[in-house]
Amino acid sequence: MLLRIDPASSVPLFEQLAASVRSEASRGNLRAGDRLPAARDVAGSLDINIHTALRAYQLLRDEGLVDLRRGRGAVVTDRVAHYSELGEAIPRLVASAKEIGVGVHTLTAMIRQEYGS
Amino acid sequence: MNHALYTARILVVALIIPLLITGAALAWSFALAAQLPARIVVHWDLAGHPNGYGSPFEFPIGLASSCLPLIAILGGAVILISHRGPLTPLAKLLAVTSIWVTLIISITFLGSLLDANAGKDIGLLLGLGFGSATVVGTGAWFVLPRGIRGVGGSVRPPVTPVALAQGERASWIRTASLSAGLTWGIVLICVAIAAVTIVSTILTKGQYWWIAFIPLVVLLIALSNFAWTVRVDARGLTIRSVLGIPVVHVPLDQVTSADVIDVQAISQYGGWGIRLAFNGRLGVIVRSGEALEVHRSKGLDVVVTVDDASSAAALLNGLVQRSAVPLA
Repeated sequence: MLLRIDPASSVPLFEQLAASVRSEASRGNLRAGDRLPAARDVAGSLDINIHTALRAYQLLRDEGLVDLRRGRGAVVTDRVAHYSELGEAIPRLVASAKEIGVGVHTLTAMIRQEYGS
Repeated sequence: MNHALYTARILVVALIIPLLITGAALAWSFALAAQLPARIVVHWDLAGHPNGYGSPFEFPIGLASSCLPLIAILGGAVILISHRGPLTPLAKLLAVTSIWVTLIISITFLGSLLDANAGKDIGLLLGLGFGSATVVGTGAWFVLPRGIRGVGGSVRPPVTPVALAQGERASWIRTASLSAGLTWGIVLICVAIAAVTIVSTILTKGQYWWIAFIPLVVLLIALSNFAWTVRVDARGLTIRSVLGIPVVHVPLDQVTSADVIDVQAISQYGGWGIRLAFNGRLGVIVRSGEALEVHRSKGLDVVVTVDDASSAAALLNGLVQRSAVPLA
């Protein structure tokens, strides 16, 4: 699983890490039952605090993408299938936005509005 | 080369010659045994002095029951390997070993029979057998078709490196483990070895008690090769057994590039686990198929069989590319 974070970004590291896992899920690189690497390994590999890695995993548990079980680590749930469906829809959405010259800020504003209504 | 001829050369060396040697030795030893008295020397101690007596027909029986299973295993492995893919140096070595070992066994048994009446020591005979077998085995190597050399596996198209910003951190982690079937097979072998050592310890009344440690050592080695964590990050490539050791590490500044290849566990790497392959690579092999191959500026190239190897190769190439760009 490919995880990427940018310490220079204003987005908190744990959110970036969670987004990285989500993006792997939406690209179909994760299947239900897959185990995420141990938080300790992820923290060591990315030179971040283990609590940051754990917080990212907790965030993913709260949204239902993984199950956290003592001794078994973070296991991907069945919901991952929906993420890969989204992963197919989003590139299409972005492509049609680009086609008519709608930028990322406008598109996210439109998505936010859709949620709000 | 003509395909029929190619197959014939492999068959001749791996099966037909060893079988002919065994057949000839069998016929001769039966003829010799028939002329000998009913009770002769059948065993010698390590110093070469006779220490066992029995029927002369124990020799042809012993000869057949040592040679035939060996030929079946070695020849069978060679034919299986050459049927599935190119003839690897390992397959050629197995084929030649088939001749080498049947010759040594045949000469030893025949020589023992010839000398049996006189009860002489057999040191010279063993030396002679070893020497001639090595000469014939070396000759057989050249009868075999040319092998494929220096191939780590079939290389897939290159991957696009991950584009990394300066300061961005990235990590790819994945577990590679042996299949359940293989794991059970290895556990069964360990249990079998344990049973044999326990029975032998009891039979020898504890005289060789230390052999009870053999299955433990085998089990420890097996356990340390069952599962590996493969990691690619700013430090380079790290392959660590889930037990903690052994660890294979290639620092990023030694990595020149990474590829995705397809490997054959047995014919190209001689089996599973951590291994030095004939093709000059250090392999961490848990199965056949997709693998990450890392080329390095010094030391052996490393091959590890792991799923999603293309993401690992893409990240490693991206990290190498970024480190080549001088910091602004």
